[in-house]
Amino acid sequence: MEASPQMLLRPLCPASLTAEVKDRFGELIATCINPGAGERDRTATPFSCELVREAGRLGLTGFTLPREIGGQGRSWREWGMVLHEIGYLCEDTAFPMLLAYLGTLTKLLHQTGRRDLADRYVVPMVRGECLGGFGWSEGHDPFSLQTVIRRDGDGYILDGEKVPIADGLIADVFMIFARSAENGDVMVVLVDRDDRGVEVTPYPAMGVRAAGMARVRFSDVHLNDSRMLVRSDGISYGQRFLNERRFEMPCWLLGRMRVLFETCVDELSRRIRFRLPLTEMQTVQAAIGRMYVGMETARLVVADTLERIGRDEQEVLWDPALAVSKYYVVGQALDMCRTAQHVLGGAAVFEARPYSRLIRDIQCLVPIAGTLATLEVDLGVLVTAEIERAVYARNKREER
Amino acid sequence: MKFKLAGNLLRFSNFQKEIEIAAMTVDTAVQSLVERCPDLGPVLLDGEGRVRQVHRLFLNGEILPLHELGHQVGSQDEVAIITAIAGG
Repeated sequence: MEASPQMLLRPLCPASLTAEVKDRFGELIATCINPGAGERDRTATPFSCELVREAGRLGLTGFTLPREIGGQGRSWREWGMVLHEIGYLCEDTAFPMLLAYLGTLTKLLHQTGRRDLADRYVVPMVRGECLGGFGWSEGHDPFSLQTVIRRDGDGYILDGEKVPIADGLIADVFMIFARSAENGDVMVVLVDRDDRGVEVTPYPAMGVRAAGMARVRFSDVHLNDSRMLVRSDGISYGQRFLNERRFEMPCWLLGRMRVLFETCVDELSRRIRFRLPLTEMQTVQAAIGRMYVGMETARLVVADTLERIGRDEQEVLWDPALAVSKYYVVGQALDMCRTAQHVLGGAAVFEARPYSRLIRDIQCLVPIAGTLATLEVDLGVLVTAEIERAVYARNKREER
Repeated sequence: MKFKLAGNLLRFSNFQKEIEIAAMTVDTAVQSLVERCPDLGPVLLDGEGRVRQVHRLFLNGEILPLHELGHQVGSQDEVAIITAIAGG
């Protein structure tokens, strides 16, 4: 159905893209992702390698990568919309999260232009035959990393621990950020899962449990020089990944919000209290209105970032508009969870119902993706500085 | 010239928000700044002594690209350093 000015539930994506996602990926989602979602959640079982390979065969693990290396050659803006539609169609939040994550890692490795990395990692990643993990977090700020790398002849030795790595249980190679023992700078290295001294253990969260969250420990891991990815200022390099995530997460999260909202309203319209559907009660109507406003404003924010990405206006390391989008959409999603729990009552808490897992998934997005408070501080500092600069410039002009 | 620091950087400058430095160019001023505030060194500069890309420098309110740090400065100039780093 095409959007009309009267529609309240306006789509984020053009109908052609929505149809493409259904045509190309609908069967995978309907037959391989949705049927096992509850069981994977209960047992914290990660997606199988076979499933990711199938996603790769369909083009989902190399969507924005060039055709000459097996990718789909599509735009980043289109990828954001695909993630949104997958977020809406699939019943496992971890799936679009994992796809977004893998896509960014593959793109970063491709952008190095190194032939050895293309052959060993990028091409298999595009096919879904090799999965990358992003080893940034360890409970300390990036200037205080405890994971240490030191020179050893022509190579390096790595010691430390990363926790969590979002897909650590299934990743084949880890992009690890470590502090140089020689000069204290942050370096980035690639560590294979089967390198001697690498230990991977499950570290399940309360939600997105099929992602394969893990603690990854590195004990005296010897790496040759070919594994060195960034020799200096790895902190800035890591921002490339995190900045991209601030664009992609709101896209797929908005899809999950649509599911929660529509499912919730449908249920409320069928439940009877005092001979009337719950949707006839004014307090429930107000709650639905609040959820709708949150979802619709989130859609507007995401639509704005899609346009920004389409015009290639984003900053590579830390884009304020993407930070605002991530902050706002996650905040609205969390508010929607709370409101849904209020109006659904007991229905929202039982495992057999569709809500509890989705709500747990959404509640996970704050710690897993970096705290919203950090984004608040960064945005506050930047906008204050911008106003101060404007006042300074105005005063200078007036002095002249 | 005067450096203006904000946000997370203040922890590394002993919470000094403004620091006066005598220098001819921005990059020599940055070197003097990290000598004055040694804790700022590893935060502001990478292992090769270059300003990290996550920092934004503004000279008298105008963005100063990191490849233009050889820009000359005088006693009345202000350089603001802003840093934005967060999880994804």
